[in-house]
Amino acid sequence: MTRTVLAALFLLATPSFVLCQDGSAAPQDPKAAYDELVKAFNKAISDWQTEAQAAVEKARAEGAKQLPAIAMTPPTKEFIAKAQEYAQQYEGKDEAVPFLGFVLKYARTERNAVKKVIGTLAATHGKSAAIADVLPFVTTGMRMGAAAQVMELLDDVAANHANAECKALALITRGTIKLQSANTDAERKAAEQDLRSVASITKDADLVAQAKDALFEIENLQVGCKAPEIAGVDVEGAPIKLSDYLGKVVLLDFWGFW
Amino acid sequence: MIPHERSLVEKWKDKPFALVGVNSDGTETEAGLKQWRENAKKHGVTWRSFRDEGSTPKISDTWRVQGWPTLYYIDHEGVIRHKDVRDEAEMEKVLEEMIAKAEAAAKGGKPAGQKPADKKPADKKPADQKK
Repeated sequence: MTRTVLAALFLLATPSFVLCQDGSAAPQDPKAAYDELVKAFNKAISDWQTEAQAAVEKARAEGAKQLPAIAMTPPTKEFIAKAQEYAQQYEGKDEAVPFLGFVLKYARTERNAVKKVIGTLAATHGKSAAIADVLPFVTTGMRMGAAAQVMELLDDVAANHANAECKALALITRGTIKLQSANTDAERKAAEQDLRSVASITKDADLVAQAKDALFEIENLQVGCKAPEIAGVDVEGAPIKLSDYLGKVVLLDFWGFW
Repeated sequence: MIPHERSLVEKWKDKPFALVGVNSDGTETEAGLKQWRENAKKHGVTWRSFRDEGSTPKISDTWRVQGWPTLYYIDHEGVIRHKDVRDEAEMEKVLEEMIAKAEAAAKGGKPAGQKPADKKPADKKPADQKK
């Protein structure tokens, strides 16, 4: 929520510039360009899903053993490239940040693009308040071969950013990353430290809640922890509790047909 | 996933084992529930699932689910013993061990388990009475 508010404030406060340096008219203001890019992307993905599903069903009906190629390749490439173009166009300015964020949010296989984005954020936008909007998405870099650069960026923002909310976001993101890769108590402690410090540097309710939720994971959802009670209804609406199953081994499975 | 899960449920139907889902198919709407029932019938889903939507916060948020499916292995005493074991052979191995422990506890464990439980309040009482 805060991220959106920060982004909105930043967009309101920044007059969009109309002319490129060479005097030619810029296609649109950056906000409109971003929205248009996202809209086109969503449409392409939705079209792809429909087509891929049809192709899969057809292949099944024909008894094919392998999935058709279309099912494996969401059309992200051209949109990632377009976002990079925009980022280049606004190079060095806050306006580039949402486009860098686009790459982090939607890249599936574009490792080089992601690496480059992490590098650009670290080199150019590490001190800007605009980075708040994309910090939670730098985790993409962790699985795209830029883990060290991601941690460097987060370390820098957590230690040196002027804005407390940005610092807090960096701590939450770093703590969550550490938690996900933690195998030992010492590693979990390090994650815990990041998350605990959030409440001392910001009063932002949303950020404090985010840190609290992540701490809940450390304290209640580890192997060896008593499983937190779940009391709710089943899919048919009948009451059901996890503790109904005490005495049995429970495989708790978060799932869906979709 | 579902065929394997169905086989586990069938295999251990007489054992202290339950597959419990937390389902995110939007069954809080009538259309969602109708679709779910159709799918459940088609795929032979007989086990119960919590409804994820509609609860605040969502169960999957509280349990910090980052991707689906996510698995937690909870023993007969309600303690999380494993997370995210996904390999089917590994899943069965892990669950078999847990089920064996649950059965042992149900058989011989009760009288043995009761003794310390009986003792504790007895130990405490004199201390309480002194007060």
